[in-house]
Amino acid sequence: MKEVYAELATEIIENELATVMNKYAVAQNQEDSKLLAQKIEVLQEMKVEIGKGNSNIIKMVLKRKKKGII
Amino acid sequence: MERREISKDVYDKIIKQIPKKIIEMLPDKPENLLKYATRIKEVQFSKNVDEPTKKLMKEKLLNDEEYLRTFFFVMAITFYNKKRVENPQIKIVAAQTGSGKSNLTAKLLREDENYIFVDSDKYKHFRYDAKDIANEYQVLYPFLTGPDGYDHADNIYEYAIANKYNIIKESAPSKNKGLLNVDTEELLKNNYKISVYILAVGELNSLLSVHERYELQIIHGLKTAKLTSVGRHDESYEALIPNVEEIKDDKRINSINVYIRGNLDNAYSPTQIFPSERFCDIIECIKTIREEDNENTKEEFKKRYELVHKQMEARKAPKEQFNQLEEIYGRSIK
Repeated sequence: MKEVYAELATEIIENELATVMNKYAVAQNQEDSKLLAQKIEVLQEMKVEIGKGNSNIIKMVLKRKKKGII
Repeated sequence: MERREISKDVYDKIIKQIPKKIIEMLPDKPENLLKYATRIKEVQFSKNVDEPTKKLMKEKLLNDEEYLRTFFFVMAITFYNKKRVENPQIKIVAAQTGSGKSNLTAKLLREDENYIFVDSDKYKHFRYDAKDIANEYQVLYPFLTGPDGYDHADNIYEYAIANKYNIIKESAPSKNKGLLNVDTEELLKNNYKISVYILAVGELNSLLSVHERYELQIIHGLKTAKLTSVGRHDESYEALIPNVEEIKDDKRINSINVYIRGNLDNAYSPTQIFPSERFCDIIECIKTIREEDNENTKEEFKKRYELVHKQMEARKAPKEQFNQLEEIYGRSIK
């Protein structure tokens, strides 16, 4: 997969991590906090996979960003 | 440059707001990290920054509470799952903007994940108001978030060295700052092995890549997209060889390696070209590879240029951006 796509996917995930961490810091109830903590874990794992060059994850991230899901 | 610390009062106020999960991700107890959260006393401006932007940059500086909160976020993200080592290494990845440094960094990280990647650009997004700034000041975003991002990068770097973590740092060559732009003596004092990784890429290729990357960022809705100017590109392109000349006989540096960019045939993985049997001199290597790369880029230039142009038309790009692309086109037919 072309190099620039992995770079782009990493940037998208890091932006999302930043957003989630800021939401987590001001989360009002336990349920929200739990969900956001899980999301941080998942995003970290995705970042590692992108670093490894996992093209499925890269494609998924780019597709979701294009559709505005993340 | 003089720096200042953040008070214990500020720490006591904000530490209650940091969720447990983030504290668990930190490399040390938060109270032990406080001394690393230092800030520059006076904001430094580059020559090309105008007065209204300078004013805005000062206005958008985070207050100490928000700075420290963001500091804990970026420390958590950067050091999560990373381990200290007995004999630390630092890898400096250097080349002009648009040459594919991130891809070489990713390759090096795939070889050994236990490295801290210091990158001031990525810390900018962790401030609470990053999205608002990106929405309101799309072009100025990198400037307005820059000073705090650089401070966070310095904090992380300082902590990583003091605690012997492996480090990867990207560097765009600069005539004034040199290639390393790091305190070599401080690194050696902490037993670091220093290696330099250079990407030899022709100017046409990297200039086009700057635009291609920007268009992709826009297409994918990244409001923080940054289009590097030809001037900044050229400065780093021209500074690379003098910068390498300065360090090539420096005995404190463990190795200097040169890579070429990957392509379709090798799954876009950068390939090492120096040291190798083909070249016995590093400067000759960089010059030759750059020339070869430029010739190859000329063959595919039209196709790549037309795609970027089409994407710019589709989004009604500003005139200045078209002018910049035309300037690059002009170089391709020289």
